[in-house]
Amino acid sequence: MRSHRQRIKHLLLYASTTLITLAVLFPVIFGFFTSFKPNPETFTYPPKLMPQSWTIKSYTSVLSQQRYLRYFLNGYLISISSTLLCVFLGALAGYGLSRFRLPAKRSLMLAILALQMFPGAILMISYFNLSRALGLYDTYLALILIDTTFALSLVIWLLKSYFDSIPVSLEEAALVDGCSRSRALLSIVAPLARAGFIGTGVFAFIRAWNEFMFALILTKGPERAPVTVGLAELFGQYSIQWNGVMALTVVATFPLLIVFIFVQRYIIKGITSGAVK
Amino acid sequence: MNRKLAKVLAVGLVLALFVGATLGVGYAKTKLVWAEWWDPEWGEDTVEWIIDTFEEAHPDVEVKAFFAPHDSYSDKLLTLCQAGDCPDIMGMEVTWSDAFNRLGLLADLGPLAASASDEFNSQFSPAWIINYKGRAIMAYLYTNSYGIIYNVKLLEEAGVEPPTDWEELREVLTTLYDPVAKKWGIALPFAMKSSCHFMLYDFWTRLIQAGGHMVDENGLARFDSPAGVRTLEYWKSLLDENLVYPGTVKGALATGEKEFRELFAAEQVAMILSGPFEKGVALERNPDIQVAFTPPFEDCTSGYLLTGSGVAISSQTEHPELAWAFFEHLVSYEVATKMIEERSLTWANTAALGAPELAEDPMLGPYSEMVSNSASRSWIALPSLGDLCGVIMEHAQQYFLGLKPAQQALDEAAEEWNAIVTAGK
Amino acid sequence: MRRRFRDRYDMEGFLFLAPALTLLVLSIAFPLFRVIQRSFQEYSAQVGAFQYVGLKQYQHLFSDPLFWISVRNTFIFTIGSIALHLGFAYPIALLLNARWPNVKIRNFFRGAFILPFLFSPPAAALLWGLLFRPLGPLNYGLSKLGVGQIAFLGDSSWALFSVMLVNSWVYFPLYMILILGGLQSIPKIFYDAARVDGANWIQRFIYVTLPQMRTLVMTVILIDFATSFIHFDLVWTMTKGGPLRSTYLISFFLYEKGLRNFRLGYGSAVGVVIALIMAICISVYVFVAIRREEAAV
Repeated sequence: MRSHRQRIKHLLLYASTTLITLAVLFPVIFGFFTSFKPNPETFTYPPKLMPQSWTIKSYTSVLSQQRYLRYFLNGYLISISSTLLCVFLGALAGYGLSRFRLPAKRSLMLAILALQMFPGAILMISYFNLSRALGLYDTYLALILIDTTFALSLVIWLLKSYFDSIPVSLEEAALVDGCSRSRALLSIVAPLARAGFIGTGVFAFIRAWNEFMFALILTKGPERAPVTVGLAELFGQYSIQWNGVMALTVVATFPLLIVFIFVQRYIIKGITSGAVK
Repeated sequence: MNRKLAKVLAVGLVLALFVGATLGVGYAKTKLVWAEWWDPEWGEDTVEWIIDTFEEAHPDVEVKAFFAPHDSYSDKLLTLCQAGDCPDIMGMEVTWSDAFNRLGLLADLGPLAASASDEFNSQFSPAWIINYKGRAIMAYLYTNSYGIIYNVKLLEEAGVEPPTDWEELREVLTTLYDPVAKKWGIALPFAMKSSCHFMLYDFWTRLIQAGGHMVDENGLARFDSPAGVRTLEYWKSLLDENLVYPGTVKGALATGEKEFRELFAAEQVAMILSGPFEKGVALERNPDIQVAFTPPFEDCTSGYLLTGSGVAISSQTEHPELAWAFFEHLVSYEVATKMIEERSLTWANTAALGAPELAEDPMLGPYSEMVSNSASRSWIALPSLGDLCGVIMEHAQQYFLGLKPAQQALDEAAEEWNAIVTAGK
Repeated sequence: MRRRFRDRYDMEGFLFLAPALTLLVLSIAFPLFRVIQRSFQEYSAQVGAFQYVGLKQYQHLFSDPLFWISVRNTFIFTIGSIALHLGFAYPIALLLNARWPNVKIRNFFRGAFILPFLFSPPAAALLWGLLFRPLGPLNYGLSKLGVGQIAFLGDSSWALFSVMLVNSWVYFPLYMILILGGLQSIPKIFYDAARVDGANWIQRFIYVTLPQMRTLVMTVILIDFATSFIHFDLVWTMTKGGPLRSTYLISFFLYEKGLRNFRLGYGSAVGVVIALIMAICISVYVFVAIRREEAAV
């Protein structure tokens, strides 16, 4: 009796989730197949999901250009570096906010969030001049620092609440045993927070990965520019390479997807045990 | 975290910082930087070929192409120039020229042109130099006029002759309209994202044909005229008769220039209103397509709008003469012939454009008639053109949707237009 | 009994905060100072430099009707986006948090829902532009169902909703992950206690899940507000503010009026006003909605 009801419940669960998944993923699937269509087929009526004549021209025309490899490498390099920096700084700050009684802590946290409020665009010219004055124009470092700045506020908030959920008693024991603060953080809290680091890291990575405006303004050309700048190249004066954009997205996100699946179990645990107290 | 992974990432970070700090190396030759957005339009090979042929003639010069995509070109260049790092010679649209000029970034081409070579003087029309506020701020590399371009095969299949005026165009569109197969005669860029395209190609061109003027010599609005009303009414009547893809006004307001080119190449629509370069764009997508210009139209006048894209020389350049020499190379007979043949761009060189075989060309034949018509008008540089386009588009959309009469829409647009132009002075 | 400052506070904590705060302050404070300064200035071509013009830029800004249209649209867009994000993310997170007979399959679904997040904004905008076409896949599907053509991006009463939908599609995975984690960290013992009291699943949801999730949802709304309010790229690629001005956002105003024409004084004034609006909204929100949840901040 009970198992029968349970089976119906499971069936409902599978069916509804599959349906929602299909609805959410339809655009992804459509985009994937579009990347294999010849350009005119994208606009014929009636619209077809599958290509009538498969072609990998979009892929070859994008991938045969040397500079796209460079764009990919730059994109990964900038995003990974800024992610590491972000999580490192965010972890320290989050720990500080979580474990110490500080004056005006709430205002401080609001102020950290407030820095997130300024549209990056108005700071663009200043960053451009600043990067030139410091000799950082057209360097990876400039982009890494900026990407870090614009993700850091959120990372601090998330990691702070993550640390909040780790019992203080563990460290206190260590501190009583004569362990230093940094030692306690490194050997006791950090291993427990590993999932949190990975989750927030993924968040920081994707923000950096999708950043376009600063990448455009602060680099000269393909030597330092990340993949978003390469994507913009496909938006021409007269026409857009629709299928090329889809192909580039597939190629660019494939490695991301692999990594994502790999760290998935940490993500779910990670980002979130944080956000809740 | 996996310790090995951590090590790899740490090494990666250090490497990133190291490589990032390393800057470019210097050059021994005189360096000339040419900013351009044409890599996708012409092909990188062509850009390199232009540079190589110039360097052969000037062995002590090294030209470096600085590519930026058209969409983000002006943002990127303005920032660079603001910081004093302006490329010596820059691809330039009239659309952007005011912003560059206002910041004092464009050299006056007048003195340079005065000492131009004889070959240049004999092959370059003075009309291709854009004067703005008493200075020559840029020069066209290729010019455009916009007329009706059609798909030869589709018109033949429908058994209709190419239209020769605007009312014939309406008849042809009626014949081509097939609500079952969802085929239309024409797609027009009435979406806000194509506001400049609409203003120049569709509104301004049709306005000249209706006998009207867009602006006076100060850039103030003159389109709020009976000719302006006639222009808007014509486009709205096509919309109301469902003759414009995709058959509804609201659908048409979602269609932009990037879409209509694809629809044309995919043979979903048989005609578009655009310039000669469309041939190259369409062929790249659909190698079997055959395109041609209709014969020039005549409504109240037979004039067309003359526009183009070109180059400007930076006021910051240390080698203005060399930059000018490169410009002369860009509009030389050799380059012009190649660009006309391979890219259907009507290159700014009278000798190349005057080649007898071009008169027979289905695209360039009618085009040269349009250009040489005495009623044709050049567009002029205007301040904040992007904002002006938005004003025209917004009020045209309101009229198309039936929210206000044509005269009122144009009056309001003219008022906003003049406010922008006055503020920009 | 009042304790002395040193006893009440643990200043060592600032050592941990120092590196992050240094970066944030250094990288934002200086440019910000320039922006605020610029907002009281105007570039004069005659002089070739910026000159002080007092409040002129602000007066100009407040008298532009387009600015007020953009403010209205931005509020609708932001609030709508937040509602849609939560509307998608919460139920899906609940589904994925339910007891699944097979954990592998559940993890597969969790992974699948993250896919939209991987599309960079211009690519997502283009993809949805294709789907939204008047004769595109969505309208084709609708016509098969007997529904008439919808001009998703051409009808001024649909366009803002359409772009909100795309914004939600791209970013809901982030909020889903956050909420899912929240659900997982609710101690089981609460549910067991509710069961003992004879609560059915609806009651358990109302009396256990919702209150437990309150803090998290408040934080999520805050984060979403801060990002959606200055949203630019996705909608810009899709509509550039049209049809009419129905999707014209405040960030477009900033870009078109200030940056594209390089009117840095005016652009800076717009930027300052945007930041002020956001600061007011967030402060009010934090003090009214989160006040009782001391824990959140």
